[in-house]
Amino acid sequence: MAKGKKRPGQFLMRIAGSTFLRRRWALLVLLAASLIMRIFLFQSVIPRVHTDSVTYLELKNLDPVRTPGYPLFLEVIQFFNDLFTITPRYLRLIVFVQMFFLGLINTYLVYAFSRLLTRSEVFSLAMGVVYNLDYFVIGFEFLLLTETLSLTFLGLTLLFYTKIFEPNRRAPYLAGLFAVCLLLTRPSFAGFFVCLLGLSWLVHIRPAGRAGFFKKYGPALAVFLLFNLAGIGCWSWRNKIKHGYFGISTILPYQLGYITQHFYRKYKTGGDAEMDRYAAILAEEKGRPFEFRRRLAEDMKMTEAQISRVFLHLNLKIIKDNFGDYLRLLPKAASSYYNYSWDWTAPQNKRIFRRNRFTAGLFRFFFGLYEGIFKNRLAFLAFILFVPAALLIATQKNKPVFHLLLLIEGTIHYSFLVCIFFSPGGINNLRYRVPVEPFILLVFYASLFLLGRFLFRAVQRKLGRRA
Amino acid sequence: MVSSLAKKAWPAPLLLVFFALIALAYGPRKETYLLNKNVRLVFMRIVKYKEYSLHRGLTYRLQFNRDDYRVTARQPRPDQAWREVAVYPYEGLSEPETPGFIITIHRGNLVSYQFEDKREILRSSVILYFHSRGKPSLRRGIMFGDSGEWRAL
Repeated sequence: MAKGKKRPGQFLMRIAGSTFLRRRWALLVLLAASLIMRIFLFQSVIPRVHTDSVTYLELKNLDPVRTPGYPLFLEVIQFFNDLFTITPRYLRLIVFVQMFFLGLINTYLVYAFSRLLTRSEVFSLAMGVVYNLDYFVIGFEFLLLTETLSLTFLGLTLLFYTKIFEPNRRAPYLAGLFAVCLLLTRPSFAGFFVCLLGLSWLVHIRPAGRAGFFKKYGPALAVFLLFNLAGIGCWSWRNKIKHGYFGISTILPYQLGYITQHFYRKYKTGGDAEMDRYAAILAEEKGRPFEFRRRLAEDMKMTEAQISRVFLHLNLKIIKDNFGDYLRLLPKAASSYYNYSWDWTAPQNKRIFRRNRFTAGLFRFFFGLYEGIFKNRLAFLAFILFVPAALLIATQKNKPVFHLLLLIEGTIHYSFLVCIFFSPGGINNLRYRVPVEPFILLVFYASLFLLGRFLFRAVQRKLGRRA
Repeated sequence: MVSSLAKKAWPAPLLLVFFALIALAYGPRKETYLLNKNVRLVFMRIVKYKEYSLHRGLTYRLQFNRDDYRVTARQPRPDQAWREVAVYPYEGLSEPETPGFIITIHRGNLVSYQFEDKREILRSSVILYFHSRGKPSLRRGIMFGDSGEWRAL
């Protein structure tokens, strides 16, 4: 055959035989399946706006209770749309990007973490599929809320943070960058970097006092720490200049307001005359945080920063004086956080399920399974505490896996603790769990998989010995 | 050594090319971009005030003047006075083709479209067009239907 001519099938053969495809077949199959599923779902989605969504739509006039992460993401999408006149259906375009860009990144992240934990291609593929069939999580891709983007940034932060210990030279910069993106998307993650650093220190410091830890990882972790401090500092400074408030967001007093809404009547007068006056206004507004804010803004012409300061002091005083009432709210907050329902996506569900019967059947199957676990106390405790604890003990000798597992567990419980201590009994609690939900499921399924593999190998060994 | 450097630093030139392409596209399309942005912001602000009217129990009015558009709200209090909430300028050289157009949003619904002189619009739908003073042939609009729905065109 002439040198320049190639047989028709040669190209395809080369593709099929390429190392990349052979090594990544599971990931490619997974991404293709996720893409196809989303193409079908996207046709049935009608974007709906939640009260919180409207506060993200304008980056220019950002409410001080909000951070710029999600509004900036929306602005980038709309920048390209405005520049190239792609579509006048703005909300649908946002949902499109969330589904096909963030959705696929999240699928990849679930796959990547599954591989890191179990080193199994088949398990990682299965976990990616399970992630895509968890409507509780992917349903948020249709909503104009921060959950899907938070999941992406949380996954990327954890992934690159783990790579710091491989070690990887670019990892601390990327981990720091994504951690800042995360805390600017969801301010409840402002203390997340402390949690990560603390857990790593716990894992890598053993045996006690080993000097190598700081020498080996010190500079990289310092970069990660500096990125976080710089991110928090820069945005806080911007708020100080623009609103006269040093902090990444003024949301905390309002979140605390949802706590004191339950016992605001128990405010003890007599300490501070000015505070008593504000407490009277809060009582007139029946403890409702945003009504209180409106009153102070309109009647007393106070700025956002002043309102926030007053409200924070008032709430802290009410909580301090009635600490028992505050503690009594925590169990309700915890059960509300670990509730299981499709309430948030309810307006979409009927239409989507009617048009995608096969996928809807799978969604319902997993809903039934998870609802059964979350609503049965014993199963739930095993799911969230005992099984992960057993896995932690089992992987203790495998340091990278143990470290990753500890970071994931730390993330899950960090999110839980922040949410229950700062917004107890709030209806939004369920939504706050969404960014960590795939990690909760991942740890559970990975535990079952590793246990199954261990038992299978033990039986194999025993049979081999007999033979 | 060069090839290893190229392997590690490949995202940098790619990013540079990307931003250069955006800058090249932005130059000739600036008017279109600003007009699109203007219509998009009007659309998003209507969405915002629709939600606010539903949850705050207020009635909002958006009046599109030649140089800006003003948002006023009516309090659910005895005086019932219209209070100015916000004033937004148009983006770039954009302006409405029919200044004085007013829309009223009550409890999450668009309830009326009218001109300043109180002439009610009785047609089943009305389009509020914006054009760019820099490029008069360019125009984009928002269509308001009698069902209270609206969409950008």
